[in-house]
Amino acid sequence: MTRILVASNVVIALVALGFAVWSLVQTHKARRRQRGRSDAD
Amino acid sequence: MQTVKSKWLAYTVLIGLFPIFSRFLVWLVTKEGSIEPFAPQDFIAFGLVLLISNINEIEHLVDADRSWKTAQNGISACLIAVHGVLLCLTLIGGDAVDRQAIMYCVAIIALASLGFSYTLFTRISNIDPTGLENAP
Repeated sequence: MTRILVASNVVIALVALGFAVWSLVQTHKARRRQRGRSDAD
Repeated sequence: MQTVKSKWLAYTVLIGLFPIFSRFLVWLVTKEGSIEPFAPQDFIAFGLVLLISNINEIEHLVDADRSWKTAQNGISACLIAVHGVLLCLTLIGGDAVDRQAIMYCVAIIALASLGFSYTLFTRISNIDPTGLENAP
């Protein structure tokens, strides 16, 4: 049971971190888009 | 907007870490075996401080993608629920639960909350006040 508890926590943490990484990538893309737009202006 | 991240680090992370630091300091000045240097409740408090500040910051954010805000709120709420379950487990006394396993679980979840909160505040600190980021 202890293993299940730790494993489920690891899975939840990985899901949260996966979303965090995705969010970071989106931020980076948005920043690049903004930079490209300001360069075009 | 970079100050948002500095404020998060100074007010949220440091204040959230305060219970962990203070218990460690108390452990340093007390006799060996009187208290433990780390307790799961302190890590749970740290995680909760981060996640509640996430929700508060998202609520006051105007210029951001709505679906992103919803996803952030949802994941923060789920992580708060996990913290609640772990807090319940720490309250069960005796040998019903493995204390070491609970300690690992809260450490993992607190670290995940820290990473999650960091990326959220990175995004907030990069949001253009003109709202150009939200353009399709």
